[in-house]
This record gives sequence, structure tokens and C-alpha cells, in this order.
Amino acid sequence: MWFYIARRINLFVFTVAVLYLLVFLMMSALPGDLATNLSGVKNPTITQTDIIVEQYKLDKSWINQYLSFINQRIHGNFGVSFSNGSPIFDEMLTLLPATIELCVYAIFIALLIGLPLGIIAAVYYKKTSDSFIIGASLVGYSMPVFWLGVIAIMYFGLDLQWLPVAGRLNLLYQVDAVTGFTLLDIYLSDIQYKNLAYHDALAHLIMPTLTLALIPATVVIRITRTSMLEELNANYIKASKARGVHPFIIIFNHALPNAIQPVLSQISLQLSTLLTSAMVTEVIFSWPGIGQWLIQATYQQDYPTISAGILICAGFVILISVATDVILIATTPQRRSAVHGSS
Amino acid sequence: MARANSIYQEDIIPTPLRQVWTNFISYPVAVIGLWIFIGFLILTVIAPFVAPYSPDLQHPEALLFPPSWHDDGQVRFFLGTDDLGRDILSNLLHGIRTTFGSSLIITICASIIGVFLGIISGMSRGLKSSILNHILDATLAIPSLLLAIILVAISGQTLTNVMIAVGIALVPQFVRATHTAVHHELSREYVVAARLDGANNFQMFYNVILPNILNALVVQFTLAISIAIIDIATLGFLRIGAPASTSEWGTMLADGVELIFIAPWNVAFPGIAIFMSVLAVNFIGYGLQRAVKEGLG
Repeated sequence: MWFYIARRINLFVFTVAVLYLLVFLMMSALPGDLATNLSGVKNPTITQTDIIVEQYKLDKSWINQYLSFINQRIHGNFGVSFSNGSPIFDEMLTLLPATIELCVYAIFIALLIGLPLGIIAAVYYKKTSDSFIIGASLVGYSMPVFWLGVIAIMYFGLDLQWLPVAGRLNLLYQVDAVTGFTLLDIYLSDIQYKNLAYHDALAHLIMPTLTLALIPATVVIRITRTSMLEELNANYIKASKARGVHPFIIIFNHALPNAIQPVLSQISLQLSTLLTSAMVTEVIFSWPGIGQWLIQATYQQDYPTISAGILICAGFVILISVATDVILIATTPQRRSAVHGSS
Repeated sequence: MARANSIYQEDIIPTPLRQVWTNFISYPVAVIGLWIFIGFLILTVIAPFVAPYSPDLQHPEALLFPPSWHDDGQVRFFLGTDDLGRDILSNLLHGIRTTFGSSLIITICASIIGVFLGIISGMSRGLKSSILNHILDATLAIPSLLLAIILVAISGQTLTNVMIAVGIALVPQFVRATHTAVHHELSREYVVAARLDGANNFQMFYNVILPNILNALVVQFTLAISIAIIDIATLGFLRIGAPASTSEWGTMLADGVELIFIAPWNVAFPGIAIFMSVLAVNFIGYGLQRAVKEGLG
């Protein structure tokens, strides 16, 4: 097993190296001076220029530049932002939890809705409920995220006034950002009205999370349905049916554990799509996360920030996909030979 | 279809593609999708000729008119007007070319490049294959919208650049789909048999593998069209897509958001247009997937 894990880690290192190469090439292709784009220092003084050239080895060959670029970024030096001159890494640390929070809850809700519906659709294959669920998932999948978000804001936020439309927490509650995750921060803080604060934080979370969860949920439904169908048609299921095992036990104890693995590995492939819609959702709901920050950076043509955003988002996607792969390999021996055969 | 009971009467056994087609048109949802798609396609060609006004023509006397079925609406502005008095129907009809038409062109170009690269990486083995794979994994990990944003930032914000950016962002998905399909087929026994018969690489690919992966590629193609439409509209909505002078559904929607409380039709109609086009494509895609599966089973 360790052999396979080593292979995955090897893959991870190489993929990240290629990612850095792509970003590095982009930085050289962007308009403006490479030194300015890499460090984010506009109009540097002579001493600053010397430091930047020294840091990024700009007087050496491009391979040296590339390696020192990786070196700087790995040590947390992402340069400073064009727009306000503050270190990008610190900014990212405060923004990242908000995005992670949103995405994690959205995936959780997507699984919560998608798995049962997918199982129901597979069990009632080609019956009314199956076509209904598939139809609904196709409709949901075709819904543009921004349109859905705007409609939700208009209906639930402005017309009915049930839910707040922007931000993470009402300013009335003075909660210090310790971890960056609102619910955890409220738990750690010592304010008087904790219950009210929880209530408010959840009210802020509902609309963005549901908007973001819609598309992953429809994807989960379809993947679950496909892989459940495959399992339910397998011979071992027929054998247990013939032995008179209760249908519930067949579905939940026999078919589901086998069907869920493809679902998990497919979800990790969907992660970059999820991040894309998370960016749009954040912009619509003024959620102070990485996505909104990146879109702002694009408006301001803030290249160091954009490159840092790509590195962090794509790095995150690669990390999660390798991690799920390793977990799946560790828990299911039959995947190991398949992994060896591919690629 | 009714192939099983009439197999002795049939002179020709239907080819796989024909079989998929017969399965496809027997599924009503897919046929509805196909009709909507054809409708959009026709509109893409004839839109400038049927649109009542030019998209930029402002009617200062008719600001924010509601749709014609509303009490205050007028039939000459069938879907109402926006805050500058521009006819929404005309704008939507012109936008069909930017959002729907160009996403078709993009997808065709991206599929040609992507399938070509995918075949190369799928047919190759060892070090070459694994290098290609790593590059692919890295590009796939970058969210497609982000990639498009960067490319627009590098090359400047014109419609052509936006199209190229969205197209480039689509290519890795085609490469991945083709690569997986080719790899899957390569491990089958009939491929080994063809190899033993002395087929060279090109014959192997063209006569043996291509007919069997065509189905997967067609499904991926429809998926890519829907992604392209959504991507172009999203870029437009974030105002980093098509420049302000061209009418584009996402940009129209973004313009309407500021007026959503007094003129909700400014948001509703572009949204419905995007939704309907993506839905039609997804219906076709699902119908094809289903038809391919039925054909096998």
C-alpha cells in the first residue's frame, strides 16, 4: 500500500511543479515588468530592486528564476498587492476560511440531498420517481449560479425579508476572528448573546450555501444513480436477493458501500467547478472570501494577487484530490491494482 | 428499438451511430431539447433580420416599459425596455450570437484541439504519457473561469479574446475525456487482436478505437457546449467578458440587477434565455448518454 501512496505523493509534487510553471509562464506573459509582477512592488527604489532581483534570481537563467519563484512562494512570500501594498499571504489567511466554510457546507448539503435522491432514483430505475429526480437534477444543473443567486436575494431577501442578503455576520455582534470560521469564532468568543449570534450567522449562511450547493447536488444525484445502478445489477446482489435478504439490507449494507467510492472520487474531480461557482456566489452575496477578492483583483489588474489566487485555488484542488485518492486507496484494496494500471 | 424481433427481416444491421440515433429520438425529453436547440440555432442565423430594433437604439420616451402583456406594456416593445429605453427582445436576439453562437464555435474548436491532444496522450505510453498527464492534471485543477479571467487579463478585453480564453479553458476537459476513453479501449481484447493482426498505430486508431469512443466524445461535446454558454455568461455577468458595446445575455443580466426592484423583467428574460439554452443542451446530452447506454445493454 505504501508504494501506491508514494506514487500519489510523487504525482502531487509533479503536478504542483507543473502548476507553478504554468503560473510562472503566465507572469512572464502578463503586461509589465516581471520583477514588478512577481513582487508586487510598484516603482521600487534601487535597494528594493536589488532585493527583488536577488530573491527571484532575475539576473540568472529562467530555470533559476522558476526555482526561486517556487522557493519564495513555498516560504509564504507571495509579494505585496498592487492595490494596497499589504502582503498577499496575510490577506489570504484571513479570507481563506470564509471560502472553505462556504464550500464545505455546500458539499455537505450537496451530499445530504444528492446521496438519498440518487439512491432512490437508482432503486426505482425507470419509474416515475426516477424520471422526476433526473428531470429535476437536469433543470438544477442548467441553472446559472448568478441568476439563481440574484433571484434568491430578490425573493427571500428583499420581498419576504426573511434572510440577510450580504456578509457573514451582523456588525452588532463583535466576534473576534480567531479561526476565521464564523461558527467556531462565536463559540470561542465571550459575547453575551451567543444564541442570537449563532442564529444570525446561520441566517447569513443559508442563501449562499444553498445557491452554491445546487449544482454539486445535481451532480452527486447523477453519479450516485449511475454507480448504484451498476452495483444493483451485479451478480452478488442477485444472489442475496435470491437468498431472501431484506431489500433495505441489500441496498444499504451491500450495494451502497461499493457504490459510494466512485461518488467520492468523482466529487473531488468536481472541486474546481465548485470553486468557480463559489467565486460567483461570493461576489453576489458579498461574501468576504478568496473568490470575491480575486474578482476585485481582476478589476484592478492586480497581477500578484491573481497569481497567488490561482496558486492557492489550484493547489487546494490538487491537494484534496490526492488526499481523497490516498484515503480511497487506503480503505479499498481493490482500487490499488486499478490505480497501478492507469496512466 | 424493434430490432430484436425483426432481425431476420432486416437487410442491414444498423450501425452503432444509427442505433444511438434511434434510441435517442425515442426519448421525448431529448427530442424536446433537440427542437429547442434547433430553434436557437435558426435564431442565431436569422436574429439580426427578425429583431425589431437595433440593440443600441434608445427610445427616450419609453424607459423601463414592462412586457407587453402587462397593463402598462406596449406591444411594440414585446418584452419591455431597459433603463435606457432599449428593446429587450432585440437585445436578446442579438445576444444569441454572442452567447449561444460563439459558444458553439468555441466548443467545436476546443474539441478539435482537445480530442487531438487526447488521442496523442491516450495512445502513447510510459514517460511521454505520464508527462502529458501531469500537465493535464495541473491545468484541470485550475478552475476554468479563473483560467479564462487570466487569459483575458493577459490579452485584453475583446470578444475574440474572451472566446479564445473560454475555449482554452475547455480544452483540458476534452483531453481528459478522450484520454480516458482511448485508454479504456486500449485495454480491451479486440484491440489486442487488431494489434496481433498487424495494424499500425493509425489503423488501430482510425478503424478500431475511433468508432468505439465516438459516443463518449459526442456526450462530452454537448457537456462542453453547456459549460461554454455558462462560462461566457458568467464572465459577462462579472463584467470581464464581452465588452460593453456587444449585447450579451450575462452582461444584460448584470445591468438589470441594479433595477431588479422596479424592473424585474430586466433580470428575468436574460436569465430565462441562458437557462433555456443550457437546459436544451443538457437534455440532448442526457438523451445521448442514455441512448449510448441502451445501445450497449
